Amino acid sequence: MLAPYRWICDYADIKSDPHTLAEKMVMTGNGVEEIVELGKNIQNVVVGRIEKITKHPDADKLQICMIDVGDEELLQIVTGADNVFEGAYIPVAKAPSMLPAGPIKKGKLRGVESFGMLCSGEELNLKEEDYPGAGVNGIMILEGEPAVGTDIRELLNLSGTVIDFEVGANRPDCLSILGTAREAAAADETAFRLPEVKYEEHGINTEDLVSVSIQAPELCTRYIAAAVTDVKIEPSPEWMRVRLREAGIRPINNIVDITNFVMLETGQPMHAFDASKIRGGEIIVRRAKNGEKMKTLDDKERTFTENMLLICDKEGPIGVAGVMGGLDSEITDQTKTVVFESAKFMYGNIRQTSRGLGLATESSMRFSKGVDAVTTLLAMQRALTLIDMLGAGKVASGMIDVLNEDLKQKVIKVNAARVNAKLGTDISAKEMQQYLNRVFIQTGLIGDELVCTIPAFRGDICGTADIAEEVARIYGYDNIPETDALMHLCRGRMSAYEKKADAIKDYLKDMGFLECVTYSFTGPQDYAKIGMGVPDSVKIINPLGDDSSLMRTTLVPHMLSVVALNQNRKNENVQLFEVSRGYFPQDGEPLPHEVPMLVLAQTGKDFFDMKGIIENIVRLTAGGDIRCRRANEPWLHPGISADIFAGGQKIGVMGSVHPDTMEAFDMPERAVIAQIDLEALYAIEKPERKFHALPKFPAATRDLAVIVDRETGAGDMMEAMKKAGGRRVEKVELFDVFSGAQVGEGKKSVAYAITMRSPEGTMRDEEVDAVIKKLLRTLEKEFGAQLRQ
Amino acid sequence: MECEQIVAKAQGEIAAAQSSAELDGIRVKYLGKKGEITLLMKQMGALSKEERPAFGQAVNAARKAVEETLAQAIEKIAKKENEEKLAAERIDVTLPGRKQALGALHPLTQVYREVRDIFLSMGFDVTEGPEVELDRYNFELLNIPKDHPARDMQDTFYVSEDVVLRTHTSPVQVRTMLSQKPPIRMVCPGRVFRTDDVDATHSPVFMQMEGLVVGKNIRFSDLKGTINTFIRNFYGEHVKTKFRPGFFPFTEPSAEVDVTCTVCGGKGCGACKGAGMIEVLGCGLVNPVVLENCGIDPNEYSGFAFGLGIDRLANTKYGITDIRLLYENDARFLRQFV
Repeated sequence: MLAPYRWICDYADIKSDPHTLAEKMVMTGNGVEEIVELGKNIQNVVVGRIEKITKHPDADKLQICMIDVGDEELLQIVTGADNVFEGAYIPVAKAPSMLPAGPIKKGKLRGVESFGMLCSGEELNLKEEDYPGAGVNGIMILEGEPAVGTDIRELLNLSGTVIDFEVGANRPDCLSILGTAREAAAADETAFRLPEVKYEEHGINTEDLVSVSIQAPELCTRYIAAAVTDVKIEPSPEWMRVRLREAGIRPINNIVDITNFVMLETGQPMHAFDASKIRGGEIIVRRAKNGEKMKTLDDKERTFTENMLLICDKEGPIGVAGVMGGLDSEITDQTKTVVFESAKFMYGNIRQTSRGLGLATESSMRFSKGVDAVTTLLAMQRALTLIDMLGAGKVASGMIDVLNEDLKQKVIKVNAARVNAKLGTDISAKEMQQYLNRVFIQTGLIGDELVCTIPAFRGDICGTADIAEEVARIYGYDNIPETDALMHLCRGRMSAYEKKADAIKDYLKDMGFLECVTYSFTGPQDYAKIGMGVPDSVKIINPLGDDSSLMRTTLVPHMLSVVALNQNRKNENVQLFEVSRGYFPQDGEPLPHEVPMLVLAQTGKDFFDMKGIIENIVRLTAGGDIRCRRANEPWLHPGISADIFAGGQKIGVMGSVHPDTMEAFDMPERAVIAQIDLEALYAIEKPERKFHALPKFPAATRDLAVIVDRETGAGDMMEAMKKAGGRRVEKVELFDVFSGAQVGEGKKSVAYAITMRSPEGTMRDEEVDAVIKKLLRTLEKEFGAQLRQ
Repeated sequence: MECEQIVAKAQGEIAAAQSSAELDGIRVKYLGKKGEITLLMKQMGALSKEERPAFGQAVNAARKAVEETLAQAIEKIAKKENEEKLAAERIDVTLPGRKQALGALHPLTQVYREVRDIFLSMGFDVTEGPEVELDRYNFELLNIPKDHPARDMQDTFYVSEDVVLRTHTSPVQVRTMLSQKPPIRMVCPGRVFRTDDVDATHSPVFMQMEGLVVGKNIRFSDLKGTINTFIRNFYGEHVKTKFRPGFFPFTEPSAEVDVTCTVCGGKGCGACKGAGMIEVLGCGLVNPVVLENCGIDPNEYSGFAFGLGIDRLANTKYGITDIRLLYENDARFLRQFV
């Protein structure tokens, strides 16, 4: 909300300068976005009078002007404009000076020195509506005979301070200068006054010109209409234009400017209809019929639904209630009689309509946040006052006021002790009473009980908590002490899930991995890139784009994008991971199942580096070993990929990225990737750790080399040996795998080192041989292995 | 005297020896099985009974003298040799160490953990909840009914009429209040979503942590105490805080909290737009309407809540000026947080 400082001062006796005021208001709850100094981009531009004009000797289109700018000597300026004349008063940018478009320096035009520039209205950011004469094509000729040398900002009222307030959704009353001035007066501890309401009514009755019927009273609790006859459409006076311009609204003509001025002043949006365009002389406020159409002021045809409220005449719609007027009933230069509307429409409904039509205006914005029915009347009175003041027309007698709301003020009784109990303060009831009166909540005191009469514009105040807040913000949050109610013993707990996630992240960090964070969104393209169809997904109705329209079920595509980005930026040997959620819709449930997942990627490493990492993650969190089975994922290399099992459950998948997928993600180099379902992993209960006595007797080690089919899993054989060997077999390690002519076509040689130990004593050779024999038999039987000779 | 001559000769050779090998040769030459002094002793048999004791003593003295000299020499030479060996093993200590690349947790995780650990130490539980959430929990029970103006404060991704991507982690507070009796003391971290287009200061996904305390006689001053304790722990004792009145539909009274700008220390700079303070969190007493909505009697209990943006804390802590870097995951960026 742009609030010009000068405008605030019209209603409150502000003693502080704009910056101090802003600071005080921040501390009483009125956030400030920024403080804007207007006219800062216009410097050293003054009023000048052209004394003499001569032709430029070398250019037909240029003229040399000698200008009186109040200095001892005349200023020589070359201009290309042809609307200048001797005796004209014009804005002169004296070199060096600053204009909104940039700096002006002295220079030479075709050999003749020029010490500045004559300005057009456009160069001062002015339009004809802002200042008469600003719109001409050429230099702006100033009205009258202003004193030469005067700063143009002073003459044209271009400087001023505007405070941009952040208005909370609970304070729609502060979307107005009056509301802001009330807050300013409270913050600056000074007087506030309402603007004057004073106008004369003339012979004709509003009721004779128009009638009003409300057919949807639940959506319109007050509707005031008043007519103005003998309207003269003309520009509004300078003071009004300046106020509007400073508040960010372009002046148009007196009638439109009055509606805008009143809206800014009071926060109550107004509308003006051309009375001659109200067919049948009746204003009907009703819900639209489904499919009903009308062209709005912005020249667009709109189609309505029955939830939308329209302002209609006998024949059809003439405006969308609270949002925008109809094109056909617009005020034009020919308008002779105006009907002003000041109404209270229900905020939820206007918000829906504005959203539904995709049409947000200053008016709909204010109605959506809520207006109060008392201000509805004040606004109409102000509009009529301004009509009278500006001589813009004759105010008709009487206004039509349809009221469907109880205007009785709410009274809230609050005990001062309860306020102190909430705040942890020790403020006296008397003091609280003063604070509340300062924010226009008329408060009486019965003993320690505050009896608060809530003004209509403070619809946000409903109970003790709200009264406590009003007291607190004036008392000052900084004055509230610091206490500690949390002294009693209590422990902070973390879920087992989070502890496990911490352990995994810390392990990966220690192994040299970098943690990534990517968005939770995905889209059909991502699935296409990994060769998958789009799975059943959580769909976003209003996504930022098609590529972010789904909630992801896999972390893989984003990780591949990150890998590709790093490869293409020549970041070599990167190890990356992310822990995040996948979202899986559940039948019959409104919410999806959210599954924590881990994705890992490595470049410059191979399958077994990654497998080792995963083995350790499983040992850390679940205990025990993993098993791998060849996987069948379209995005993984068919020969270098595996499904990962732990505790009898599939917990993930890993492998080298498929060349087609590499191409889809623009990955120049290979990478290994893995994805683990952490929910499945966490579900495996890690056995309690128990102490085992350290071995007392030495171990025996033997090598065992066998020849098997190439497809036989060397790891499966290890598992089988461990199982068959029982307690005596302490360790089975693989130390050699090869294939070639010497072992035969389709075969491979696999060699293991077997460590055996007995708790009873040093193992004798016969015992060791017996174990090895048993292991060999197992391999022969289960895997068709042959002892390598 | 033969003995004295042998000793003198041996001592001369010992003094001239340069290495422990040479010394060992000298030992064998004089004291070995066939050494000169050993051989002298063997001559004893040829002597008369009277001559023997004197001779024996002389030879033993000679042996002792040689042994002692030899031992001294061995010690000296061994020391010298050791020094030479160590000198030969000298290395260039300025060469770089051999190391495995360090990994790093994401800056958001690091900041989150720091914040979390402070609250854990103050006795807060850490609770998580769904990211795809019911409108009822994300808005309605938090005193933001449908079509309420406050809905405009948070631009929301909708999955259906009744399901949204949570815009804050407050629904976890709602779930906690609905399922747990006071006293409650918890924080709820996690991802939240708003329909903001990506630019240097906006991201549609970001990380938040909110906290909730509900109990008997919880006051605004307790909120101040808790928040200030957290801020002093996180930013340091020297940091000043400012509580400004603010507005949130779910708290009343509400406050926004500024802290001394971490970049300029309060003098005013680009990061704090010259204010010397930066906004870090929002908080307030839980609105009685919210307590009631969640089945807690506002006449018996009161509470406070707060919320802070982990992204924002990370950006101010590390001086990150473009939020997109957090989600791009360039290894060169991530390695800066080792």
